[in-house]
Amino acid sequence: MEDESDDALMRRAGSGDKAAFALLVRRHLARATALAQRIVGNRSDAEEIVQEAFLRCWQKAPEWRPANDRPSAGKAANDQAANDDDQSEGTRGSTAQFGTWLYRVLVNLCLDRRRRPQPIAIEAAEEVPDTAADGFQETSRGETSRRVQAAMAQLPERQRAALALCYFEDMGNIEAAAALEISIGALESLLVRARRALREALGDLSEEGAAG
Amino acid sequence: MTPLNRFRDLLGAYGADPKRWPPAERARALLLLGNSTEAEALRREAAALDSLLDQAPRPALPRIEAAILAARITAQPQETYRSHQRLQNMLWLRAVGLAAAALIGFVVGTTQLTDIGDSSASVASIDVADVAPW
Repeated sequence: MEDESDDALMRRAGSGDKAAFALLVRRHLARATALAQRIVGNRSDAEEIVQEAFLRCWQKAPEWRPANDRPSAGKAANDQAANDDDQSEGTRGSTAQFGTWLYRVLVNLCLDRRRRPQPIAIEAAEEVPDTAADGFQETSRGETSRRVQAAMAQLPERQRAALALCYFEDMGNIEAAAALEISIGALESLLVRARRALREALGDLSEEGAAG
Repeated sequence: MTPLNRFRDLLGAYGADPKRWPPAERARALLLLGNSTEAEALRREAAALDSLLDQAPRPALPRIEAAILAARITAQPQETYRSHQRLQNMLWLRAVGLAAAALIGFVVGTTQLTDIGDSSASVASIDVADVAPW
């Protein structure tokens, strides 16, 4: 089962296979948590959102079909694929189809979290004391690091989500656009505005770096 | 859009590292980069921002183990599927009910029309004075 694709595992999960679902969680938990944390800016909200995203995966697993099996699902990804000559990356791989779906759910939860009702009724995680106020790793802190984080926190959420997907999670533009349910042009627009805002906010650091 | 303008947009969106550029445009962009000092200057600018972004704090690892989280989640019922099935069953019942009502209506209507046809002559022959009390 370890070698099976995400799609195959999701099909098994749809039949109630808990071990298959556990493997999916193991594969995606760290990345999903990192992505959510980058978007919402704190660890507790991110963990709550990730738990809810996985719960939705479990609940919807019986209905889930890979994008190429269903005409309407993955529409955004397919639309974008039509605009991109090279489809060898992004939504083509079987893993990417489940991933796209999972990250779309996750990003939506992140963006909607203010309107979200109370958290799901899963027992609270046994929490390890969080040394960092917002859950980001202390070891990576420094003046530049703090400035970058502060500048990113000032970005509108959708810009931050686009940057988190494409830059920090190295997601292809097709998959990232699908996760945000926007066109590739709209994704690029978000990224351009995000990077421009960051360049303006961090201009002095950038100049120092260039001078050094 | 000229290649250089598109190259500028690519850098503005995806940064200086070619591995982040859309695969379909990568080869063309690298070709331009190799032949244009202006493109190279643009790439350096984007790389400066990238180096700052690379110093962004790394998110911490999740505090819950995957196996524990999965066990908690899979203890929940796959409710959406059951709801979906219930909804489908309800739709079937409604469809059957509507079809039955339509059939009954058709049969009753047809029967009454036949009766009316048979009795139309006698109805026509009844004088209003026969039934009016005044």
